[in-house]
This record gives sequence, C-alpha cells and structure tokens, in this order.
Amino acid sequence: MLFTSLPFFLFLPAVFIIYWLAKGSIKLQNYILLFASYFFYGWWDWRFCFLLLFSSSFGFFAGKAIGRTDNETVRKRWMALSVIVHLGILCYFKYFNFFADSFAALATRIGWKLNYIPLNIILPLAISFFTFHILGYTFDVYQKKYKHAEGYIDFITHIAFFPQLVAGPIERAGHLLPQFQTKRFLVGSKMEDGLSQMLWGFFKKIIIADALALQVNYVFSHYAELNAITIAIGVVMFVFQMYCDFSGYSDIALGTARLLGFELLQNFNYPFFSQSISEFWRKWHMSLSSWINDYLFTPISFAKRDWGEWGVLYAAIVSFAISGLWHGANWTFILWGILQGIAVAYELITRKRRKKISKQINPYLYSAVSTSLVFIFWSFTQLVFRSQSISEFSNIMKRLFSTGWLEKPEIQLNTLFLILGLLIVERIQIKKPYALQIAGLPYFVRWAIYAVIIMLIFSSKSLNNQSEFLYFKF
Amino acid sequence: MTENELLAQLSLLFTDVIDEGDVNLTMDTVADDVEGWDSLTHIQIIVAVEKKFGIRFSLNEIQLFKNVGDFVRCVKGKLS
Repeated sequence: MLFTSLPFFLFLPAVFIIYWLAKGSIKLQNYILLFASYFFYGWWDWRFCFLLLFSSSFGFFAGKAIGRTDNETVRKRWMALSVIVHLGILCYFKYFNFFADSFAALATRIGWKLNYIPLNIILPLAISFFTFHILGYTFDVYQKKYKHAEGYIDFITHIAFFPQLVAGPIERAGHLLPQFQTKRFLVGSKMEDGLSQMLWGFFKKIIIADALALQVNYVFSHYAELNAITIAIGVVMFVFQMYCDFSGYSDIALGTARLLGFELLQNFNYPFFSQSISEFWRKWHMSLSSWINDYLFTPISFAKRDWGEWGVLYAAIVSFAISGLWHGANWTFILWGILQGIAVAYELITRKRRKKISKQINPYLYSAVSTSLVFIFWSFTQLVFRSQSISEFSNIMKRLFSTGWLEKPEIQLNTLFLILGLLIVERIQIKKPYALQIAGLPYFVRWAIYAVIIMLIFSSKSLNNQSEFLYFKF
Repeated sequence: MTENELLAQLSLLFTDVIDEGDVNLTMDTVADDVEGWDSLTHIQIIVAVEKKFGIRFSLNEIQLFKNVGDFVRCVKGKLS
C-alpha cells in the first residue's frame, strides 16, 4: 500500500479510529497495530507476511537465547546463527542472481563453459530494512547494550510497525520497543504536528520529486543525444528528486507514527548545508548511516586500529561498500559506496590539516566552497547511483566531457525554481526537525499555509501520475 | 592515579586529538557535549589513550561507555 495511494487514505483513518477507541488497553492497541501492519504489508503480496513473521520470530527467540545466558560460547553461537539466517535470507532474495551472474561472467572470461539460467526470484518488499532492524537488535543484546525483549507480540509488532516497515527509518529496538510497552496519549498538538509532517512529506514527494522525475527520466533515457549541460542539470535534478522522494517518505512515516502516539528516528537533517561528506552522512539517511557506523565501521576500525590511517581507510571503504550493496545488487552501488568510503576516510585523515587551512581563509568563503564541493561530490556519486550499469555510467561520463557546456539546455528548467524554493525554506527552518514545523505561528496563519499546500497537491498533475517511492526497491 | 588525575590527563588527550580548542571533561560529560567528538574521532581517542597508558580495550568495553565516567573507571581498573 503506497503512502500516496487511495487505499492508504482509507486504511489510515480506519486504523486511527479503531486504535484510539482501544486506548484503555496497551495490549489491545498493540494487537490492532500488529494486525494493521500485516494487512498493510500483505496488500502487496500476502505470501511474504510469512517471511516477515519468520524473520521477526527468529530475531525474538535468538535474542532471548543470547540474553538469558552468560555462557560466551552459547551467546556467540546464537549470534553467528542469527547472522547466517538473516543474511542468508537477504542474500537469497536480493543477491543470489547478482553473485551467480558475476561468477558466470568471470567463469566465461577464463574459458569455462557454464549452462546457467538465472532464477526467477521476486524481491520481498522491505526485506533490507527489517533484516537490518532485527540484526541491530540481536547485536545490541549480544553486546549487552540492553536486555532482550520479553513480550513476543510487542517485539514482532515493533518490527512490522507499518509506518517504518517498508522504507525505514531503520529503527533500533532500544528506541522503539519501549514505546510499545508504555501508554500512548491522544494529544491535539501532537496530532497537528504529525499531520503537518505528513503534509510536508506529500508536498516534497508529489510536488517536487514527481515533477523532477519526468525531467530526470528523460535525461537518463536520452543522454546519448543530449549536450553536457543538459545532462549535468539532469543529475542535479536527480539529486533533489532522490532527496525529496526519500526524505518525503520519511516525513510521512514519522508523521503517521506520531498520529498513533509514537516517535520514530529522524532520518534527514537538511544534508545540503553540510560542509563535509562526513557531516553529510550524519544528516542523510541517518538511521542507515548510524547503523553502518555502530555495527560495521566502529568494529572494523577498532579491530584494525593498529594499522593507523590505513585501518581507517579500510574500515570506511568496507563499511560503505556494504552500505552500497545494501541498496541493491549492482556494481554501481558498490562503486558508489567505495567512493563515499574514500571521501570519509580522506576527511578523517586530513582533518587537522584542513582545519589549519580553514583558519587562514575567510570563514564565509570557506563554508561556501566546502558546501559546494560536498554538493559536487555528492552529485557525481548520485550519477553512479542512478546509472543502470558501470558501462552506462562511463558512457554518460564520456558524453559529459565530449559535448558543449555552453550550449542551450534541452530540458524544461522551471522545476529548478522548486529546488531553489525548497533550499530557501530549509535554510530558514534549519533548527526545526522538519521544514514545515510552524507550531509557533498563530493558528490562522498555520492553517492558511496548510490549506495552500493541500490545494497545490490536489491541483498537481503528478497526483494522478505518481511514481513509486525510489527506496521501495532497496 | 586518582579519578581526577585521570580526568585531567584525558582532557589533554581529547584536546590534542579533537583539535577544536580546550576540552574540560567531567565524569558526566557525554559525546554530544564536546564539539568534534564523533564516531570518527572516537576511535582515534581510544588509540591515543591505549598508547598513553599502555593498556588495551575490547570492543565490548568501549561500546558500553555511556559517559566519560565509565571511560575513566575502565582506564583506572586496567591500571590498578
């Protein structure tokens, strides 16, 4: 069920009413959320409900087995088994054909003859998200960061909780699970806050991302005939399409959860004002980057700390390459991850040197140059991310360097004003958790702004012509 | 070495590694209180402390630190 579809507009009010009618009993409310979440997930393909149930049940029992003993061997065995089971399921559905294809291509290259037919595997929606959610919980229990969960229903409900199930934020059990065990309150100001965050998400998705998508799809399917400036503008548009699509989704998720009395993790924090790639990563898809940091980068860089700067580089490249692979089974994602890893490691290693330079330059100039360099680097890596294959990426790069930059752009540029407007609003609201949080304004101003946005959304051409959220395929 | 002496030594090490001005740690200081103390500099701090005192931490130990107090007590435990 898409957040921007009619079924969701019927589903959410129904769940909201039934859920709050049951406010006398936390247990009943959790059962309602469990049923609603599986209904929401099963709307795409009911068969995968069993996969979700299996993964979360296994996570629960493995957590219990690890948490209730101090025997290190037993704990280690259960931890290893959990990694094998969860990553095994993920690899089968998401990466089997990728690795088999890559192996077959390599074998053919060295002269072996393989009769290989790719398997017809459907990727279950949300699998990368809930697998990381459950694995994070298991690691935390293993590292004794918190106690294992006791209530089975609470646990499987918090994994399946529909606002965050399909495309995150990737929750942490330590943050979300306790909210399922405490009473939730129906508070007017919270409801308005939730609705306005949802509205902002819809605005970014329907008004900005879907409008940009038309231009971006045109550029990427016709790049062979377009001039360099058009391709460059197309890439910048893709950067903001991805941002508005994914951060818009996250806003709807956070707003929906708030309507039910829950707070999810913040996933974006105005990344385009960052002055370094490391800062960008602390503000972009924050729930994934903190996951990668806690469970990959920190353990790897700690294990390799005797290697000095090489250890940092190694840890950053491995962690980000895995983060790239998490997005999908394609070499473009791995290359994208490696580039991010190199940039983050470079920044960490040269931190003191760069600081010295910054002191000798006008601070405004330094910050403008840094922000621009971060944006150029990010756009370049998003070009890798958007390309269907490494060869398509290199063809686009050749096109960028072989044709004129001073020619007339061959696409409509009016959507660039949407991007400019977005950045201005975000700059003004930078201290707020999301850009439409205007709780401080008088109610008639607030509601006038909401009304204008609602009218814009309903008068948008994109409303009947929506594309799926980009992160659904990851 | 007393906890206060350790705090003073750690403050000097933090100042040197983070390089964002003087750091004055207390037992209750957490990462958010110190500018520049993030997950990336955290490992560099750990390495500097290990070198300075000739001790070795395990991953589990450093991940369970909730504030500087936990850090100081862990170092003190290893030194005694």
